Amino acid sequence: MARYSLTGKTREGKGKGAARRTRREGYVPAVLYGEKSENRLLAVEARALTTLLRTAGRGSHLVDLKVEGNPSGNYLTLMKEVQQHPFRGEMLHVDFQRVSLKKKIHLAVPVVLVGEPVGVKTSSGVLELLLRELDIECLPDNIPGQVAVDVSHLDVGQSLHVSDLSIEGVTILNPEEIPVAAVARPTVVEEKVPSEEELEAEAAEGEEAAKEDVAPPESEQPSQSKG
Amino acid sequence: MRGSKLAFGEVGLQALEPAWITARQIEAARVAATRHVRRGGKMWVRVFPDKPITLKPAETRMGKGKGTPEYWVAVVKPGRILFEIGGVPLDISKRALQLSAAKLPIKTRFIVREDIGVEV
Repeated sequence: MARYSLTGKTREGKGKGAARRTRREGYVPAVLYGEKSENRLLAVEARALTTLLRTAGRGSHLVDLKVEGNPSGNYLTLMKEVQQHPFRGEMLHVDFQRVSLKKKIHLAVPVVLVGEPVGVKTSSGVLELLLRELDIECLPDNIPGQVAVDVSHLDVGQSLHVSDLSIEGVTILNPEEIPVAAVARPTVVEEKVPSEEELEAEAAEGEEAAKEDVAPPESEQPSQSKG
Repeated sequence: MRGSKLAFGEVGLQALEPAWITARQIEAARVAATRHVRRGGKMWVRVFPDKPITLKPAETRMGKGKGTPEYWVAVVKPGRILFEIGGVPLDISKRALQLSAAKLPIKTRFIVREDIGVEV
């Protein structure tokens, strides 16, 4: 997996007020934790973070995090979580987890389907990606950027499970019976064509309604309220 | 926020305003989209009207107990994904969701999954 680099600075003050001030200054509040060290409150440049996420894509990424004023050099971290505004897309907060190259870590990697299934080509089935992220355990050097799954052999009604996947140097943590992808039958909306009898009945109802509209019977006229 | 990201399909309709969306509006929007898509594909409705709304009959004085449940709504907050579509070409799904959006009382936005997760 490619490594990315990012620079951060120590952040002072907690809570929404301080976080909002940080965001107004063009930074994103972040936290660094893991490897039995104290948690550190950081702030990373919003623009640099956006560029990194645009180039790296979704999923967890290894980041060499340089913290200004840190005497011990860079931290090797895993970008564990990125919080975004629900619809404005702004970055709200980032979690960095310190990792060791000798210790296995848990993370989620994106699943990518490769090929066009037989069921989609011949029977116009619908390919469904049921598991978008795979939970794995591996050493930081073995992290796959994504898990490519070949689905070209799937026919309508068939599915591919976690048990069918294997990645070298990586342990998959999802239960084996979980489906990853499936080819479903297409849904068809049937437009009901009314029969002649129904059409006649409708026409008769329409005529009756028209008569009622012209002269409503006295009993059905709205009564006036008395306040 | 819960329910603010695409979870099933490749495209979706996202609410940009808060509202109570009635069961009728949801159903009208769903029907509009499925009729346009016609064949193939799959649609997910990500909101459910689980809040009963009561009304008192017209021209009734206050008191005499609470009104009767008249209809059901889904409480929608900005950012909520309302519908998702998968397995259909982008132009068809976009038009289908535009037709759905016309049935709703709020501003919405059409969104596409950044990384669709399918390489053909």
